[in-house]
Amino acid sequence: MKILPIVAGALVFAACSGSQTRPDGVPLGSQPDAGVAAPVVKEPTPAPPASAASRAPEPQKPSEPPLMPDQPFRNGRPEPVQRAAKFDAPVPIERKLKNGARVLIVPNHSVPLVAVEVRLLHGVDAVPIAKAGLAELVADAVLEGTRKRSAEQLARDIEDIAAHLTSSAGNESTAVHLNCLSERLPKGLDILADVVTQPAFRPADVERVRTLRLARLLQKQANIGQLAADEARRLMYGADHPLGQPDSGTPAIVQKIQRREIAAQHKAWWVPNDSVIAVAGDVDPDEAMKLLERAFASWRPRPMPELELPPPRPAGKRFISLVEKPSATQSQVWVVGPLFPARDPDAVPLEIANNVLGGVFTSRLNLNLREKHGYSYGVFSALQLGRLSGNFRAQGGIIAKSTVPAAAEYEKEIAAFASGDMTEDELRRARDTYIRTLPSQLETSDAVASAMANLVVLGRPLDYYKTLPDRAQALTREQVVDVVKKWVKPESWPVVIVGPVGDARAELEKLGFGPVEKAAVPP
Amino acid sequence: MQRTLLAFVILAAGAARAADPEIQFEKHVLGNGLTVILSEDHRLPQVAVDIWYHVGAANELAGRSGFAHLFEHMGFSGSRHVQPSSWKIFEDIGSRAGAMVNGTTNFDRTNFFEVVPGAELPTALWVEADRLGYLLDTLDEVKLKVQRDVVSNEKRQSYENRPYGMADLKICDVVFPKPHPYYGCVIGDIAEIQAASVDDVRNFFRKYYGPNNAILAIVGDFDTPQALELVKKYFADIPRGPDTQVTDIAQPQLSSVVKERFEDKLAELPRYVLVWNGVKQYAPEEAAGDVLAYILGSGKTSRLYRSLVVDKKIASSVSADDNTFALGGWIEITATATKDHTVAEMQPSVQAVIDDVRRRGVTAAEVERAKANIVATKVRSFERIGGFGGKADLLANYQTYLGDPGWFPKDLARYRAVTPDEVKAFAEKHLVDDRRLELDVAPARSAK
Repeated sequence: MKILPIVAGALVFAACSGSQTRPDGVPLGSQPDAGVAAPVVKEPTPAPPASAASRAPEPQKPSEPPLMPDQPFRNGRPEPVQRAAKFDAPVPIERKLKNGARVLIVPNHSVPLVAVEVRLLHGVDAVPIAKAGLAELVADAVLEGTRKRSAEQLARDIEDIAAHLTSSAGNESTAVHLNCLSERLPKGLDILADVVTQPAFRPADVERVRTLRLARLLQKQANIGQLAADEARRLMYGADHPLGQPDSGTPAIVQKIQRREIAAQHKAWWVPNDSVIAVAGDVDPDEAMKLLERAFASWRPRPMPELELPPPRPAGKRFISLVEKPSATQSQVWVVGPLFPARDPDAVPLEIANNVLGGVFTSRLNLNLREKHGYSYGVFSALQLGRLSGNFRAQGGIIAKSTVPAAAEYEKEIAAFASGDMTEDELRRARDTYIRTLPSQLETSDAVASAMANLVVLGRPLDYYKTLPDRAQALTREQVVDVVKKWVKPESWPVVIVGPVGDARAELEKLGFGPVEKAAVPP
Repeated sequence: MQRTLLAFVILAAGAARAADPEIQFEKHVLGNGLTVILSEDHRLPQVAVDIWYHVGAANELAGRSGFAHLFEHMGFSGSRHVQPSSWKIFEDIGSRAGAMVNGTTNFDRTNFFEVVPGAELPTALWVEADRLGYLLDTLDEVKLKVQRDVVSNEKRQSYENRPYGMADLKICDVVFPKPHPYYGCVIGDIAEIQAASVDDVRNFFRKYYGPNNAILAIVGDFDTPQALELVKKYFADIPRGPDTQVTDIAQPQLSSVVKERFEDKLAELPRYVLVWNGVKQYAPEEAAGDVLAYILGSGKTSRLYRSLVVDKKIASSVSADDNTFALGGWIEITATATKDHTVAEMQPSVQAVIDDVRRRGVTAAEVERAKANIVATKVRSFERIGGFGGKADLLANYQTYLGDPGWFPKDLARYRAVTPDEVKAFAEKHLVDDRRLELDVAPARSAK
């Protein structure tokens, strides 16, 4: 297979911190809650910046006649042409299986492919903190054999029909995602249902899953972005909350999780009455229902355990949480703060506003940290909104020696943003980007299936994407600014720094962000 | 000055299977030599504009490794009418840098692409034409210095600070030793990047960035006659560049076993890498090589996975790749250990897999499985109009290397024709024991 490893791009993609990363550092995708297994759009991490410290030579005038005469029609950006097409975002057809599973279908016959995502509506949230990493192990282990298929047979059956089958656990849901040629859908669904409902968890397969997961946890130690993400989780949820635990647990815990615990977790939470199945692509809805009923006939509803989730306990004060990492040549600087669940009406205005601060390449944070100061390879900010809670984070990789001044620039930008400083033109731009990039986010069947499943996880209406452009368009600057002022509170938001800080710690103390505290990183 | 438009229209044709997707397109060549490929796709109100220049690291001069990529960066620094940068322009019209707007350079070609709302096609063409017609007007030492540093930092970010990154770079240097222009693995040597001058940029631009060395692929929501008029408006006046000849340099051949050992302070697990000389892209053997690589190292059915990960439990990941480019290629096997296991343990197991495939060949079932997956991967690229590896790239790629944007059915056909005997023959010929590179990457034992 071609991998084209030898491509150098103008903007280099880096793993979203907190996402799963292959040992070689290639991002595999973000958390299921943001669209599992789909080739979702990742934050661009731009190429490294100019070194501000170097002395720039005097500007030179071009020394020779231009290649082309000037042509006045080239002055200024051209007017758009008329295109009738308005984006008609998908609204799924809703059905229900006899076993109670909700089914959402978006037919699209343009390419002979179908994506099917079974989404269980719990994930890491349903794991006690002493078992952190269990949800991810269950997601790994279901792909390693079923009662009627050995691990080897299962792999062969999937590859024989050229399907992709992936599984992963997120904060509040777990996804098993199938992509196959539409002509192989019956077989594909047979395999998908087998994996979801009849995993065998044979001891040898469980041990392999454990070994591979431990290898990834080991490699994670070299990834300062993932370490920053873990610390951010702890600061936003508290050490006694399931979502406050390190992503995929710790080696000490994963080492000890029993096979029977994996089976029990699956039995308790992988139930049709707490799931949604999203289908997108080249399939007829009635045909899809017939195939799904047949494939999932043996999946019976079961009563679920009571889940008593403690409320998140965000740090609630400004300080610097430091993870010293002497071997790194960069540092990660993050600012994190608690927000609200995805259903909150403030979500759309704040997402739009975030495009002004750090949502895109030409947002303020990146223009300042990368373009103006050359401290960073790219600084971005994002909202992560879940079913029950949500957070803000600004994050970036910083050239180690610039860590302290970079942190000061984050503060400057976020404070100005929090005060409501935003022009009409900035808002227009932020809103245009928000509305006009939507089609590309829903381009593939994989992306549509994951997005539809996500609507259910987050409690959003099924016409969410269809109405989104109009809702975004209707917002005034005052409304947007009010929402920013209501929620963006850097004076009580902690800063996470992971890197080779060393002696610069004293300088950090002088920034006025409160005390510098050594993070309590679990083993 | 209005140029005559030399137009010829080809519709995609060929013996495809019923389920294979088809791309309808038109191909035109402007008077200045610009090849234009237009393919309407109205699923989304978006249009992908993707321009390929047939120039890459292969065209670099001695002492200027990394230059083609540095030049690509200069392409994003604004041009006479596009200020301050194309990033800004595209984010002004509702696109987004990264997956939707970007550029890439490899050994043989450079591309710039954007996905924008269909109504904004004029802006995309205006930016691309300005890059081609007016880039040098605003080029100066200041801009160049910025990008020299950006690219130098990119190397640090993407290779020097990534686990196993430096070992990856070693492969090009051994398989394509100096003075071969593939030396440096596109990203190049920081000292040579820093040595690049404004004159170097001007000369490179004049030589390789003419419309006659470019392929413009437009895919998405547009009206073909209107799009063609817009292309003519923005591109037809740009003068033809010199005729460029595709460089043809014999592929250097390893003459013995080369062993290298690395200490990698970012790696946590040992890695073993084997590399052999391979074949050029679209060579008759390429399809068999891809099928072999799939059988050896792709997915959980692969022979390396079954042996090293499942049976012996000594590796945490394995891969096999048949890398092919215009001037040559290499076959690569990689195995990364599990905790507490070593390269010395993995080496005989990897060798046993290679010995077996050479001696006994592969099964028909393995070949069919590999072919189905290779074909499906190509079909999946039809889902996106542009970006990294969508339909626009597919069309531009076939045109750049084969002169035929409609080569897709033939591409599928050559994979479907591969036989087990051809796969065995490829392994016997290329996976030899006495001419290969063996890399042993060891985690450095230092403070983490």
